[in-house]
Amino acid sequence: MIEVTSLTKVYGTGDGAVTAVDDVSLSVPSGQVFGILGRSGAGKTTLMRCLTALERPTSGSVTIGEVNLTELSASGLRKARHRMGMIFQHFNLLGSRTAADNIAFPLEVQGVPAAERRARVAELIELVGLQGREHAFPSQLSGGQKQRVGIARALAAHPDVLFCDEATSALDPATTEQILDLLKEINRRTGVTIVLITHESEVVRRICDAAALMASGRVVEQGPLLELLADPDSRLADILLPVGDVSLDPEHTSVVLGFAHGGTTEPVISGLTRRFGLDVSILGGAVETVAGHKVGRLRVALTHPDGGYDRDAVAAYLAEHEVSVHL
Amino acid sequence: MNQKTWIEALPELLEALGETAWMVGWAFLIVVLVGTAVGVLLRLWASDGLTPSRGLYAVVGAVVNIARSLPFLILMIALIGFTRWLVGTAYGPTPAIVPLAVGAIPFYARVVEAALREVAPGKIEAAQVMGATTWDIVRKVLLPEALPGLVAGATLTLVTLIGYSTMAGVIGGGGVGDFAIRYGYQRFNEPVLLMSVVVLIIIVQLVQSIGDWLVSRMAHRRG
Ligand SMILES: Nc1ncnc2c1ncn2[C@@H]1O[C@H](COP(=O)(O)OP(=O)(O)OP(=O)(O)O)[C@@H](O)[C@H]1O
Ligand SMILES: [Mg+2]
Repeated sequence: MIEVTSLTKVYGTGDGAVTAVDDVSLSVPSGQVFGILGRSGAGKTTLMRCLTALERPTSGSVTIGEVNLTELSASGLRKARHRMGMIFQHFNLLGSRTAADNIAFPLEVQGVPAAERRARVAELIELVGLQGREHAFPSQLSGGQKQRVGIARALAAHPDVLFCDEATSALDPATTEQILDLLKEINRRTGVTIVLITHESEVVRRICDAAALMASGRVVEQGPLLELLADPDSRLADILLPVGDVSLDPEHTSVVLGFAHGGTTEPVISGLTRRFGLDVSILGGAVETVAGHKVGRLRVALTHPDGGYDRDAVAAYLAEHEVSVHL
Repeated sequence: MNQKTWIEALPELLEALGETAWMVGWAFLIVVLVGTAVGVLLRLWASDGLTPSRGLYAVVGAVVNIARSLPFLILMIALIGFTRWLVGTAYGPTPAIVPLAVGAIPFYARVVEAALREVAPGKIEAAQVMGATTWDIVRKVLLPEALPGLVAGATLTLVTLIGYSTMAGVIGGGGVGDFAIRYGYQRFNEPVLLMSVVVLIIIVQLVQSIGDWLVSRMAHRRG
């Protein structure tokens, strides 16, 4: 659906140049919720501005569907944008319009007749649960309600892809959960591809099917979430399901066990003791439900009273129980 | 000298008010239309505008600045030739519309430009991502979002125009300014002069209050 190839964006020139996005390649499959996680300044917003062609990349290309955004004329770009929706951290609603008229905006821009607009707006008001508030102005709505208007507006023209830039960062935790669940439900019901950027790991954990980790302008990891979480060495997994610091383990005997495919921890750990005579001490870990699957990561120290143990056999045993580990 | 009482001068004052209303009304209409257009263009052509153009912005900006820096009285005299060419004569309420409009357009254009600058860039980008054209953005985002500022600026412009119009009276434009000169300056009829002053104050207060009321009503809804 979305292919980003060697995208680079440099601001400024000479000594003052900042490489905000550095040779990023991404692939977002159709119908997925794709999260881009990164700290402040990692280049997330810049990347998303290139995805929506608000910013012209210094090099590289962005293809959405069959269309290469970097090659389009102004009118071609407008047409391509009719297939996109976007929601913003600070909502960016028009204060001069009611909720309903804000939602109708993209339809007006696309020349949809008034009667059709009204019908579509009524549908959307219901979809986002704003019944009774359609004639309110943005200033009369709470943050959560404003973001619902933002979502309805972004969806009005049946986009193929919905971009979200820190869509929940201005909301309190309970409202954040509601909005995230709404996005997930919309993704399930309409099949719209969602690309969201965030610095909150909770957002990725809660609704993403796949994710990328950005640091200093680069994508350091990307892939389906369950795969990443099962990978003991994944940095993204370590952010989403932290297993504690290596400093807990001064002798460096610990390993990370990843459970992502319904494997259960307890029998496996007692199995290690029974079958291999290992002492297993748990140093840290987390278990959560992600994308409908129970996933967990554990940092354990494996030691044998006699010193060494048969690593290959242990690894095979764990693999058999769908537990990933690098020994 | 046989001085008229203020009651006797009242019909003449009413006539003068009518002339003022005529020249200020038309000038205001022209200023709002042309000033808005120029202000929008300046905003679009600015370096951070939607269609930046360094050259056009510099040229139009310079013209606007020069026109704004001229005192109105000088501008009016300088425009006598142009007015005569345009209207046929340079004296009377209708020709006075020309210098009034020319004098206030640059001012209002800058008001519009500044008000449009206040519209959050995020709102404009949101419209761009929805595939809006520049014209859509001007019509549906910039002007509506800036409306309270535009109305406040228009009110200020109208008050300024009323002030300018009295100066137009000095060179025979008619209106309240002309009336005040004839009675207050040429005949030293202070009661009648005072009456015209009071009437002007009331009109200006009224205009300002109506403008303020419109702005606060809009701001109330939009928050
Ligand atoms: N218009 C610009 N001009 C110059 N530098 C910029 C510009 N926009 C962003 N940058 C720089 O690019 C880098 C990445 O910024 P960006 O806003 O993309 O980060 P981010 O990941 O979205 O951060 P945050 O989580 O704080 O929003 C930063 O170093 C920033 O200073
Ligand atoms: Mg950002």
